[in-house]
Parts: sequence; C-alpha cells; structure tokens
Amino acid sequence: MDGFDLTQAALDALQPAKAKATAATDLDEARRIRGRLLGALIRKRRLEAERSAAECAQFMDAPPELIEAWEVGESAPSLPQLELLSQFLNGQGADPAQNEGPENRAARAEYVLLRRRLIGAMLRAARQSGGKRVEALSEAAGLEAAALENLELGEEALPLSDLVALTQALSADLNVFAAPASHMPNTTESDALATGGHPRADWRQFAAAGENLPFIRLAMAFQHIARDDLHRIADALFAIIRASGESNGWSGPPS
Amino acid sequence: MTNASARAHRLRIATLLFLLCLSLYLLTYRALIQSGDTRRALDAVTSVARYGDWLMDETNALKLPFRIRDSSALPLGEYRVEEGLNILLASPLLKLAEALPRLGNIHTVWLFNVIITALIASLVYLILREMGYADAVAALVAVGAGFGTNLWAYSQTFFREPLTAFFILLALFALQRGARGGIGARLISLVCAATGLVLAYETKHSALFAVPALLVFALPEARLEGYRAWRPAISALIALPLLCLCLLALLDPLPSAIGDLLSRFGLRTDHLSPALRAYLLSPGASLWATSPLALFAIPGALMLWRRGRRRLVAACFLLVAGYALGHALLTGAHWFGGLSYPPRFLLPAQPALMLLTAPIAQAVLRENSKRIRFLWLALLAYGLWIQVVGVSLSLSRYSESLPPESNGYAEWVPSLTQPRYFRWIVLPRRWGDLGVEFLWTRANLPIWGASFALAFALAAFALWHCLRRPGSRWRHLAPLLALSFIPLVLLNLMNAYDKDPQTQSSQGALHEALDFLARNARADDLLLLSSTDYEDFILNHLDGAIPRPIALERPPAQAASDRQPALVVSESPNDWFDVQSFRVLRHLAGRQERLWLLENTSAFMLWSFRPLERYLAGHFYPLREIELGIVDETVRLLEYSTGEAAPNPLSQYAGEIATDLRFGEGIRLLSLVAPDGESYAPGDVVHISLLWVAEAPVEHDYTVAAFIADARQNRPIAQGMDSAPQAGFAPTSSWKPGAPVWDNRALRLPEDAVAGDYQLWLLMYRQGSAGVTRLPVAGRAVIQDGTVGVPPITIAVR
Repeated sequence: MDGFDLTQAALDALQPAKAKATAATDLDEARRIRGRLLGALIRKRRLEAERSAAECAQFMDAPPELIEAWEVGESAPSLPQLELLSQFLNGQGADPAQNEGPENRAARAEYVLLRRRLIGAMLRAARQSGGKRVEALSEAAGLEAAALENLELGEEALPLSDLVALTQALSADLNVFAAPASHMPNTTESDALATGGHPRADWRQFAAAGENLPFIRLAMAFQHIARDDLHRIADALFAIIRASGESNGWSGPPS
Repeated sequence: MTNASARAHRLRIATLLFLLCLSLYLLTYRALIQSGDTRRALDAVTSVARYGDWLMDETNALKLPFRIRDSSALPLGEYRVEEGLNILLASPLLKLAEALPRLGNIHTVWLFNVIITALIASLVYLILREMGYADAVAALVAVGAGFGTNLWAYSQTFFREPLTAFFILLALFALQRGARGGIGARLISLVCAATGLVLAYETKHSALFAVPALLVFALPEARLEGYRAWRPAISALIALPLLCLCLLALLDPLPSAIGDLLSRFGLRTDHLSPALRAYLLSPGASLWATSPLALFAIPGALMLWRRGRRRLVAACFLLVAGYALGHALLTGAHWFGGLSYPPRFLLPAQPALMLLTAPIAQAVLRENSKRIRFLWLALLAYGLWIQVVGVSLSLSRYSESLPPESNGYAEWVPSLTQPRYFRWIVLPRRWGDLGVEFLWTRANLPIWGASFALAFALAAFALWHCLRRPGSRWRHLAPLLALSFIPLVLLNLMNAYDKDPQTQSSQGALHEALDFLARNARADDLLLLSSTDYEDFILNHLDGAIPRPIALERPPAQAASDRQPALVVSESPNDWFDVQSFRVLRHLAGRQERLWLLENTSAFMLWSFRPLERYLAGHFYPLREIELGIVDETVRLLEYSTGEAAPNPLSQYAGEIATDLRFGEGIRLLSLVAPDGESYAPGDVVHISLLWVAEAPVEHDYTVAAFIADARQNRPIAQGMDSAPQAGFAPTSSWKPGAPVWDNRALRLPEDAVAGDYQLWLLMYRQGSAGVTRLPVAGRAVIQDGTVGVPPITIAVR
C-alpha cells in the first residue's frame, strides 16, 4: 500500500481533543469544518491512489456527485463508508473480479449495514455507561432525539462528523468505533461455502503457486480422458510401480 | 424301484445333501461384512427391497458419487444394476428380516450364499446321477464339493460368484438332462441352459467366459462319440488352449509381439502371466491350492477321456480356461479379486471341475482301492483344514496378519508361493488372540452351535442310511429335517439379534434412537450418519419404518478418537469436509424440510470437533436433541430444520430487524432475522436467527432460551432448544468484544396452537451452584421483572 490509511488519518484528525475545529461552540460550524477537513483528506488520498471520483463512486455503488460532495465538505461519509473507501484506495478494488458484479456490491452494502448496527450499539453502550439519556445526548450533539434512537439501532447512516459530535458529547474515544479487521466475518470463506466451490486453504495455496500450473493442466486433461484410457494409464503406472517394487514382492493394488 | 420312487429317492438324497451342507455352513456361519464390495451389495439389497432403487445410501461414505446432478433427488451413487441379479434374489430375505421381529438384516441376507452353495452341492449330485453315476459316487463328489473346496469359504460371503456358479451348473444340468432325450426334450434343455446362462450373466457379466464350455457341452454326446471325425477337433479344442495357457503363464515378460496383438483387441496383458500362474499353478492361491480335492479332476479327466466321455472333459477344461484367461486379460490390475479366498474369479468353474473327479470317487468306493481311498481321505482332510481356516476368521484378517512389506495386499507374491505365508498357515496363528469369528462364538450362543451340530449329525445319519438302503425307514427323516430347518434357523437368528458385538447390537441407546425415529419420523425424512462408526448397526437393524440413512464420510476435521488427531485443524468450514461429502450435505440440506443426525460424539468428548453439527447449526436451524432413555454420549439424535438456509455466519449480513435489547452488562442482541408478520399453521417450525455482539469480554457461559409466547395470557406456547449460541459451538465466554455472532434457533408451534398473534421471548441464564441465574435485560420491550426480552416481531398463527 502506498500512501496513508484514510480511515486512521480521518479518525486522528477528527479526534475531539486534537482538532481545533471540534472545539467550536457553534455545532453547525464545527460540523462544517470537520466535513471540509475530512473532504480534504479524502481528495488527497484519492489523488495519491490515482483514482477518479467516478471509480470511487462505482466501487461505493453511489453517484460520483456524492464523492465530490464529500470532498468539498458538503456532506460527510459514515464511518463504514469511509472504511470501505479506504479499502478501495488501499488497493483492494484493483481486481475487477473482486470489485464488480451484483454479489460484490451486495456484499459491500451488507458490510456497511452491519458496521452501522455495530457502531449504533457501541454508541448506545457508551451513552448508557455515561448515564446519559437520549434527549440529553441529542441536544449536546445537535441532533433530534428520534434520529439518535434510529442511529443507535443502525437504521440510518451516521455521518462521521455527527459521530465526532456524539463522541465529543460523551467524552469517548473516536478510535473505539473503528472496525478491527479480525472481528469482521471473513467473506472469502463465506463465498466459497455459498458457491459450494469449497477450495481448501492448502488447495488455494497450491493453485496460486505458478510452478503448479502444469499439475492443474494435467488434472484438467484427466477429466476428459475416457474410462478405458484411464485404465490403460493406471495399468502402465502399476507396471512401473511393480517393476520398482518387486524386490519386496508387491504386485498390485487391492480391488 | 419304480420311476416315481427313484425320482423321490433322488430328490431325498439331494435334499439331505442340501441339509447336510446347510447345517455345516450354519455351524460355521459368520454373517460378517468382510469387504467393501459386499457392503455395497447389502446396501443395494436394502435399497431395492425398501425403496425400489439402487442407491448407495448406507455406504455412501464408502464411495461418494463422482458427480452430483442438481436434478437428483438424492445425491447418491448407484449400484451396478446390470449385474444385480443376486441383489434382486436376496431382497426377499431382507423383506423377511423386516417382516419378522428380531431378525438382523446382515444375519438374514448372509444366508443367501449359504443356501446357494448348499444347492450347488445338491446340483452336483443331480448332474452326476443324470450322467449315470451311482448314488454313492454322486453323493461323495457332492460332499467333496461342498466340504472340501473353497465353495464352503464362499458360502460365508455375499460375493456373486456362488450364484454364478449355481446358474452355470444349472445350465450344465439342463443340457445333461436333455442330452439323452428326443428333439423336444433337447430343445427344452437348450432353452433352460440358455436361461441359466442369461441368469449367470445377469449376476456377473464374466459368465460369458462360460459360453464356449456350454456350447461344447450342448453338442449331442452320442453323435460326438460316434463320429471319428469329431475326435481331432475335440482334441484340438483342449490342446490349443492348453498350449496357450502354458505359454502365457510361463512367459513373463510377454513377448512384445503377443502383447501388441492382444492389446490391439483391447485386452490388457500387464498382469496376464502372474494372474495365470496364480490361478492355475501357485501352491498358495490356485484352484488346486485352496480346493485340493479338485486335483482329482486331472486323473478323472484322463479316465473319462479314455472312456470316450470327451464332451464333459472338453467343457470343463474350457470353463476353467475361459475364466482364467478371461479374467487375466480383462480385469487388469484387479486380477486377484481383492479380499477373498483365492482364486475368487475362478469359483464359478469349481463345481464343474469337481464333476471330473467322479471316476476317482468311483474308485474310492470300490472294495479294493485302499491307496486311492487313503489319498482321497488325505486330500479331503487337507481341504477341510483349508476351508475351516477360511471360514474361521474374516477375510480381512489375513491381510492384517501379513508382514509389513506386503503393504496389506492379499496378492502379495510370497503369499502365493511361500508356504509360510499361505492363508491356512497364517490365519490359525490368529486364533489365539481372535478366537474364531463364527456368529455363535462371538455372540456367545452355544445353543446355535449345538442345534446345527445336531442337525448336521441327523442329516448325515439319514443320508448314510438312504444311500445304503433306499427303502430305509430313516428316509422319512429328510422331509422332517427340511421342515424343522426353517424354524430352527429363524429362532437361532432371533436369538442372535441383539447379541452380536460386530453390529453394536447391545448398544441400547442406538435401538432407542431407531425406535424414536420409527415413531416420529416422516416417510420422506432422511437420517444422516456423522461417520461410518454405526454403519454395521444401521445395516443390520434398520427397517423401512425408519428414515432413509445416508452415511457421510468422517470429515477430515473430526478425529476418529482421542488418540488420533484430526487430519485438519482449522476454524474455516471450508477445510472441515471432504469436497464431495460437503456437496452431498449441501444438496440434502437444500432439498429436505428437515434432517435427522445420528452423531457419535458429544460436547463431553473434548477432542471431538463435530464439524457436521457445527455446520448444520451455523447454516441451518437446530430444532432439538432427542432425550433418549439410555444416556450414551456416543449416541445422540438431533433434528434440524433445513427448510430454508440461515444467514451465512461468515457473511457481513446485518440482519433484518434491529433491536435495542441488552442482556446483562455487555451482551447485545444487535438484530434478528425472524418471520415478522408471517402466518404459520399449527405444527409449523418458526426459524429465528439472532445476531449477538459482546461489548466487553463475557466471563461466563450463558444459555439462550427462546419461546413463542401468548402475550395476552403471558405464557409461552412453544420452546426452542435451550443452548449456548450456535447450538453450543459459540459459548459466550469465547466471544470477542465487537465481533458479531449468529445464533440460529427453530421453534415448533404446537399442533393445538390457537390462531392469533404471538411474541418471541428471549432470555439468557446461567446454571450455577446456586441454581439458575437469569441475566437482566434492558431495552424497550422487557417483561417478567426485566429478565425476558421481547424483540419487535409478531408471529401469526392462522
């Protein structure tokens, strides 16, 4: 990976204690400043990764205007969206096979929704452990109480700038909301099971090694050989084995 | 003696010979599955008799289907229908075992070859009588064939060779009967012989090797002997193949010109010479080695030749040559026949070969033939020893007893040539540690041994008297014995039903599991076997009232025992199963409304990974574990609802309905997939998938309980299986904070559920020394003093 990690850079920049902008008393102004800061980071990383806004939009299954709106700070992505974009800019979307297609788009949408639910649950846990009521927190963060309830259930996307406002009101660490990769389900395994393809780890390694290509071609060729010809090949192999094993009396396989 | 009384006498002797052999074979009855071939054959019998198909279900794990078509109702391989006559003929025995109580399937179906082999002995007698031999001579040859050849050893198997031998012999009998009649009788005999050949072919296609022999035997004997011009042709018929056989057996390696010529016709020459040597010459595995009495066929053939009975000699010779050459040229690397008492592939020629010993038997019975009599008795004694050894232990014991350099191969060359490795030398050494494996000895049934020893003695006594004096008053013993045999066999089998350790018959919990299934399963249900450990029990004890069993190969991630590590240790389900087993499993779960699982390990066996249970719990809905009256951790019966797949636990799916329920200090129910608003009928199964997440490490293991409840009456109407999440495979103490965990549960609505809207109730509790402690629940909808969470869904019963 060349360049910085967008998610981590954004979380560092937006940490309430570190960003002067977050100290602004006008919540709307603070939200705008955070949005611009975040937009600048997104644009910088995108240019660094040599990706167009259209490519990012395609990966995110969103209109290109949305990416542009993020970059100019008109709106802010949610933390799961930022994580996804970060993955793309870090090179995960380089392979079109992993990128395109409705299954891949659906998988990314699932990821965003699951992360949204998890972040909502963590937000509620932080609020409850801080002894704050929904109304109090929503007022402190400049949100509607009903909207906050929905955000805690993960029913709606929570823009990162609002998440910063909420963590600021809760005096919480923004970093705890980031997804540890080890805790997320492994979609590679999932795909293999779903398709019944079932490539075992050692098989995948074998297939991935270039020097094994002749063996794979051989296996593919065997698939098309007629049964009688297979018998002849087997007999010839047994003859070789027998010739080399006659010293210990071996004469053939059991039926 | 009138014709009618002569016929009755002949039938009586044949019956007594049949009973004599039958009682001897039952005295040494093993009823053991010894090879994969016969295991699959029994599976085919159960499939044909119960379901009318040829699918390999109980032995699916033995040979998984190569390709599974989506259109197949069951993803199973098929038995070779085109060579399945023995399966069809044995299926009435299975039906008998199912119709009568306490008859084991293996115990009953294995009678098939016992009966067929005893019939062969009777048929040998009848053919020789047709040929004009005296009663005593024919009976002596029949006894020699029944006792002194490896037919006895094969009576204890479920191989197809005895039935093929029987049909070929039947064809010979038909031809012999017609040989001296008019044109009409001859035509009828030809039709009967052709039918015998077709039946033999339907049993095993290699019966085609008998065609030349039967054609020669079909030639009219009188005309054959009358025309001198025929004699050189007959001589050539024997001399040429004999020369070929000798050349091919002795030339190793085969000259390339001959090899090329043969391979041009699709024949396989790689094993030709070793196979012919083993079949015909080897002192450890040839026709003569395991059936020494057949050695008398050589002088017998010479005597018959001199007497002008060349048709029989030529036919028998062609039969042996046909089978030997045919198998050596066509079966390639499998020329030996696997686990067997050799030479298995030449067994169909064995009874015909014994017909040639009739002139020697004639000489034995003459007053002044002490030397021949002694020789005959010596070879009979030697043959008896070989057969007794052959039936005393399972065929697999021999391979186990060979030195390591044999690699366990029964056709190991020294075993064919060096006396110290002969089967009848090696196997008796195992008697010390294994005993003998007769059904009555291993199941400790002395009454079995005593009853068939008595039957043998009575049959021998009656036969002796009937042969000495046809009008003997003891002749009435024959029908009495025949009638008493049926109840005698059935009663002894019933007595053995739950005493055979080989079929795990004494494991009460297994019987209970089957009883439960017989009472509760539906006709279209399937029973998965998590490994082949209970395959013999299932094969022996299952009947049509129980769901169709499908054995799955033990997954590589499952250790066979606490002393054997699993082949694969992985957290990834992709690595748990063999590819084909996994496809079978997916195919079944994708088509069945529910699956039963007979599992032979439990959570108490800490070494056991239980990949099958893990997979079904993770991807479908565990409904219940049946409480059997006998607690046995190696016998567990589980029911899964597989009507629909659960959310893939490895996907990043977020669930459908978000909840705010929080159990205890740190367990959240993030969301769930549940039938909100869907209508169910009483008795239906409701599927619930819960998505849990821990906010912090959870110290204890909690059990989740799910109920469908009537809110108006404040009481549950249905309860799911209480268990830790994922049917116990994801205990709460193992959860990583922030990592989502799917937990699937199925709840069956009671048959008398009243129409209305119901709630889902969830609670978590811990069983400790102080009793049950419920976790407090926080959220919008909490009842019963804050210990039961109510997710925002409605389950409608209409």
